[in-house]
Amino acid sequence: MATRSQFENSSEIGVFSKLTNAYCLVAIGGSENFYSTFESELSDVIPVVKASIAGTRVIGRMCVGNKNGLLLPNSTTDQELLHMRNCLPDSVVVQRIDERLSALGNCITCNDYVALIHTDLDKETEELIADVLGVEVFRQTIAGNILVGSYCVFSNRGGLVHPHTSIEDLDELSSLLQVPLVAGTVNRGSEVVGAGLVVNDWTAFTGIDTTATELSVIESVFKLREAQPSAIVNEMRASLIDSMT
Amino acid sequence: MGRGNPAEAGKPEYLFQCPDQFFKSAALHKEGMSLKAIREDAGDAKAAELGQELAGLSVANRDEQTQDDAGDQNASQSGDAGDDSLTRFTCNRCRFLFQTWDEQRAHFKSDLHRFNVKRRSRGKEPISEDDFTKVAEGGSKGDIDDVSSISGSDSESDDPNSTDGFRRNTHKTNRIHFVLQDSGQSFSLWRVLALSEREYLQTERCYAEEHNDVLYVSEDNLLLRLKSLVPPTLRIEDNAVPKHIWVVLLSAGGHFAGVVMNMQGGGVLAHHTFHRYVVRAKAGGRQSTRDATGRAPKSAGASLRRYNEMALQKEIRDLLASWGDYLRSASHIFVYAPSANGQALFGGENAPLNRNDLRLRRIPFTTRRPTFKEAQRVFRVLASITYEEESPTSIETPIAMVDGSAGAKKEAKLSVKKSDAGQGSADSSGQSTAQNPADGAGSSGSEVPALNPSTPLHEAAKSGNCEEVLRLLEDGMDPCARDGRDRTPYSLAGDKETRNVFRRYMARFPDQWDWHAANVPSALTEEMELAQAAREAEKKAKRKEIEKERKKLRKEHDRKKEAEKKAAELAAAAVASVRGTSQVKSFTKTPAPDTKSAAYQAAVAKAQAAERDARAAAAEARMRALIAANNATDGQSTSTPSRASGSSSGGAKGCSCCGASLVGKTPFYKFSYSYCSTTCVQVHRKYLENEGQ
Repeated sequence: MATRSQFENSSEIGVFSKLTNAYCLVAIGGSENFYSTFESELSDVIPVVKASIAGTRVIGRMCVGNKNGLLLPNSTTDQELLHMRNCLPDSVVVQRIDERLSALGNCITCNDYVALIHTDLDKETEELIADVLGVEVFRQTIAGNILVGSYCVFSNRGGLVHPHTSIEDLDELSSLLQVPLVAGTVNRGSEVVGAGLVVNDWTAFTGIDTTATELSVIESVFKLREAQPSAIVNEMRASLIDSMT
Repeated sequence: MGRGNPAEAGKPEYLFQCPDQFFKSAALHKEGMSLKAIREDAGDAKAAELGQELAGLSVANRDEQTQDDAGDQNASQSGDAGDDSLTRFTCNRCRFLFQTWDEQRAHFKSDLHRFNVKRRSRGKEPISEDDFTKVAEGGSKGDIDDVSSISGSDSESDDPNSTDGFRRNTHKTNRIHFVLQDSGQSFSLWRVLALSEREYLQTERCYAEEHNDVLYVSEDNLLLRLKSLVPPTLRIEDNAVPKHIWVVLLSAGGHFAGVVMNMQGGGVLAHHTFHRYVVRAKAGGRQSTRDATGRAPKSAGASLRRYNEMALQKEIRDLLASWGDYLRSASHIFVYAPSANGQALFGGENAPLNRNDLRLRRIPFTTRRPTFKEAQRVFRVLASITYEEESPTSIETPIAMVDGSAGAKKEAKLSVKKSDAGQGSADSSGQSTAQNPADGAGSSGSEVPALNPSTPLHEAAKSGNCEEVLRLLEDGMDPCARDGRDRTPYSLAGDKETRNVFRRYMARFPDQWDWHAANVPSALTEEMELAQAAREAEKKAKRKEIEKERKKLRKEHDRKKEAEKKAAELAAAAVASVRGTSQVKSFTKTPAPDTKSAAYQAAVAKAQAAERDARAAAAEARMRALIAANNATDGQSTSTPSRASGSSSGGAKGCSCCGASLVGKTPFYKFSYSYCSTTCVQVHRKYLENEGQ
């Protein structure tokens, strides 16, 4: 299910958190409310780690990652890198990359299999993304915006893109990414969906301003209604039991 | 960089390759002219997809609709994600259609796609595969930068204006456009080559009031300057210091690079680079900046950096002193030395450079770490001449085709381009190679300002200049025009007042333009404004009212408090006075209150009553104690509690257990007993229990 949340009175929670299928990063904030929202939803499934990047709290815009890895900008300090390596599961590769564009979260968006990236990123960065995150990399724009990370959010099950994306572009993107996409908004009409929403395969967090309509679009396109981490186990159990009898 | 003999090709790439008298027939490219051409060009590029997009937009905006859409997609995708017959594999940027998903994926990773996406983000038409291979080949032969810029992030003019403090000057651009009248070729040069920071063209508007010493340069003067940019080829063999020299000085973060370039042939006359460790590792910032905050660290590293800063400054000064001849004869001095770095160049008494020197120019694009290579690159970029693709004759073609259908327009445009290219290759191989790099340079972004079809209305809206916006609208400027990033002037407006100008104009002429296409949401009529003002006034009045009420309440509260305080004071004084009269003597520290006042009398009476009660209670206690003592001597030998319990039966104000006075305490009650503390309660309970047994 999608949960509404806010970070110190800001509903751009995508700026202050990063959610993947294997871990969740949240900014070190003044109050525990934000952290505990994530903690209560996720703590028994994936680690929720408090982190900062380059001394800032805008971690969601600075880093990019999926279940395979986490990429950090080169402004990340050694201590922060070490902290994340210590806190994240061993299967997650944490890597700092030398890239001129340091707001990786704005320039890159990915799920566990594909990534869309800013057209100006270095070739070496592109290779690193493919290696560390284990994804196929495409250079693309969303509705004419080169900041794909800001205007597009997608998981392995679905995606939300900038509201001005044309139908043709939607079709093209969804055939490229192999997930169904919807053009929509968060936070009561904000088109910066990347900043208003963090999502993984079974849960999503949106800004507190998100309307019920937006929330229902989000839940339906990311298929969150039926999705729980336990759902797959239940499914499997049913089939296992079926095969045993 | 060197290309055969460019002077022969007729289109030299750099200024120092220009033949003598190259700019003889040059004239200023008039703004209206270039804008129109550019706008048509962009409009043409957009027209084809505009139809599709408009159709898509209205649908894509609505949530329910898209939700349905997603539902459809879910159905189709969840059924069979791989080979869905309904899914078309397209690339809308490059206008390709693919048979399979693999083809599409392969295309999306290709250089062509990347190149087209970049072009698109600058508002340019995508190019076909054939054109692309031509560009790539041309680039790899001549200029590596062209191809590397396709894949890499080395576009040097990402935000050329970012350090420029003159953003608000609507008409000022980074580049100046010229036309060669004899060949009809139009080209552009960096503005800084002809004009210094304080100089403006007479046609330009200068809004920077704080710059009183703005110099206006006439067109003739500008053309003279342009002509003087190309050095005469005669005196190449001179032994003396060459007359046509450019100096490039870059200084940042402890790095310094300086080159002296000869404009006759573009050779390096002198160069030097320094590097000193001055920037605090990890923490960033210079040591001197840190020291200036007040607490100067005394570490070894800090003193090292302090020393290095001084040494670097001295080195730079020595170097520039030894380059005195060059600096004196240079026609242009390009400097990049942000904030504190300028100290070595301009600061102090015998500074090597003067900030007011008219030869001093800023570098109008982003530079990287100062190295010799970078300084050379800066020089090359500055000296490059950017040719516009269409000559004035071909400008006419797209204009004539505005009312044709989008598809036909695109075809025609392409054919025009092709014929251009064909002509070029037919003329001479040299020319075609000279033309292609120009294409490539466009892709690397060095001519963004030239092809950015932003209109004066955009600029005025962006700078928040309401009168200008209104004037332009009244002059018939199209508010639906889109700039290179597909934005209308309205969406660029920074503040409400500017937006209101558009809305007011919309109210006046609702049918003049398609205001929906101009992104203007609604008209703002006089009545609406009046109503708004009235609402605002009402709100203000209400706010005032509330504020008044609050003030009144506060005042009342204060008054009450004051009265209470006074009463308390009086009471204290009265008690003191009562005690003073009854006891031997008492000097109170409080000032003597007004003994005549009624309040004081009342307080005194009250205090006297209280004193009386207290005394009575004390006397009673004494009596009881006496009786208890008598009882005890009567022979009933018990422990203390019994004495206390005896006293408690009298209902006096003493602890039933220990007998301590309860005056001024909150006693604990149990049955008819009262206690001074919980321990007493427990002790007494035990005692009672024992007694019961």
